[in-house]
Amino acid sequence: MITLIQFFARNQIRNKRLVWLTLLSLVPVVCCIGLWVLRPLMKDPDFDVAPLFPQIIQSMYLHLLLPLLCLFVGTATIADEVRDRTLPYLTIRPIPKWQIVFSKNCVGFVTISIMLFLSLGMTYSLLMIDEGLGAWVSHLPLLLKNWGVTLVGVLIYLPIFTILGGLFRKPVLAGLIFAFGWESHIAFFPGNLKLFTIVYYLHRLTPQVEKSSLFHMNTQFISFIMTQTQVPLSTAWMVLLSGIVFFWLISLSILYFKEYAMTLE
Amino acid sequence: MKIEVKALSKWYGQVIGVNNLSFTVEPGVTGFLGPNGAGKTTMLRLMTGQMKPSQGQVLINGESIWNHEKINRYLGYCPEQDAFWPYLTGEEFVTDLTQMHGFSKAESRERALEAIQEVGMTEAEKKKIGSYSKGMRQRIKLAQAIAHDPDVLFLDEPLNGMDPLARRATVALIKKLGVLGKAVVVSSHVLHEVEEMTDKIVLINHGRLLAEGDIYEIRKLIDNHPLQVSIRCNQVNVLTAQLLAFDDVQSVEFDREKHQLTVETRNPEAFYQRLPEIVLDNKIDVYSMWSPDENLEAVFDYLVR
Repeated sequence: MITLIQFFARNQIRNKRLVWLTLLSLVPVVCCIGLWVLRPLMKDPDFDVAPLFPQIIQSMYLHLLLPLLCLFVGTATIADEVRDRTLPYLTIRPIPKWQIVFSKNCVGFVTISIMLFLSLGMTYSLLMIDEGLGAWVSHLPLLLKNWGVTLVGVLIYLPIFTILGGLFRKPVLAGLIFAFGWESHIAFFPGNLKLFTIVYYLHRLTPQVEKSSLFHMNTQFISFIMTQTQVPLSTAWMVLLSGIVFFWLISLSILYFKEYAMTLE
Repeated sequence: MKIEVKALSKWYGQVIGVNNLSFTVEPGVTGFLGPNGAGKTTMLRLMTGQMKPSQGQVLINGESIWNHEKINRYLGYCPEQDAFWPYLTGEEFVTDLTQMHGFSKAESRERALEAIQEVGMTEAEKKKIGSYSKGMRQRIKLAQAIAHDPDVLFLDEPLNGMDPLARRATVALIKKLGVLGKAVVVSSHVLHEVEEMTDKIVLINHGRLLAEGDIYEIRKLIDNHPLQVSIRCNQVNVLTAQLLAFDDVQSVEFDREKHQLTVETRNPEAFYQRLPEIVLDNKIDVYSMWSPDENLEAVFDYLVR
């Protein structure tokens, strides 16, 4: 297994995809820099950017960056080997097939986690510049908690996109439909349909901001999703953990039941 | 090690890839011969457990190969497809894949370097595979298949794209592996390639077994079938007239505008011996010469009849 992880890690580092995934992960950072540049043009001269952090976590990370990074890494797990026709080199080895998917996804998980951590850290630091070093240090747990939530998101989204990558001929399209058709839009539908989205439970895990907090804002434009139906935190954890186990099991078993015709005579 | 193929069939919807094949492969080299589209690659993919049979089974030493990864320890596979992780060097490619057989990093590297030397790729081992020629890529694929010293080897069109020297060396290596007691299955659509390696062949076409056994018996049947040779040259009329003088030449079709003629001969060996002399004596410039690939298909059609 370690051999496989090393192999895929080296491949990941040399893959050009890593460059543009890194650039993608910096989109929220660029937005924050834009906010800084445009701040003098705003009507309110005392406009404070620090309270935007929870909003950026929800809109830019949970709804955009997290699914996108998982989409591109997860769908590539099997689909890349099938497209590049390198899968037979791996499946002819005396290693259980699930280890191929597991090792590659482990590398993917670490890659996305590092990207999210760096991106979140930079976003957080940019928004906290005005507040000083003391505030930066004292609010650090909020950053770490939010990073933790995104990691839970990676753990559940990654196998889902791996499954799509293993089953569909155009996995990125299928993934986009899931991420931005189902996950993003169903959450805004009235009723209980949002209970069938992952992002709903991830929202539930995000740290709640008190009114007295530096980060409190009245315009919680995405948080209204949470105010409609509040499931207990324990339920959110249970649903997410069950999902993680279920989707990982399915994704690890794909190579046992799905066969890929690299070339058909 | 013994490979038993029992009533094996594979279909994709309405299309039959392999149709009720049964045969046994013993140690030594066995040639898998058939025209393009005959079902050779499907057959090898079934035999290596890459595909699940629709019916029947493949047994290696009595155990079914499908979803039985432990058997892979004894197998080596050189796929037909020209596919790699292009950013790996030849050495990394072979070492990493060998390491997946459970060898330590040092032992894998040692085995990889030995295998690379066997296929004559030592000079290029540090270069990225993306920069290799087709023939070099074929050889590095072969190296990854033999590095872990498997008992059973499946080689899908291993000589494709190789230059004559590499071809000769590879044929010698395959023969050596057969002599060492490995069961080597080599697929090819070129009869003389297989003929150089072994006298045991399995002939398939349209996914069906046409013949199995000694190549000489099958060769006799094939020899009765006329061979087509196309030639492009500057003096089509002269060459046509010269060739028609021989009894074994059944017909000559020519196209003056394209400077091309197609000869049908019952004795290819005599034809090829005679041709250089005719060309030299008549000062004919030959631009190109080939035997249409469809010809093998015709041979198979002939055998089916």
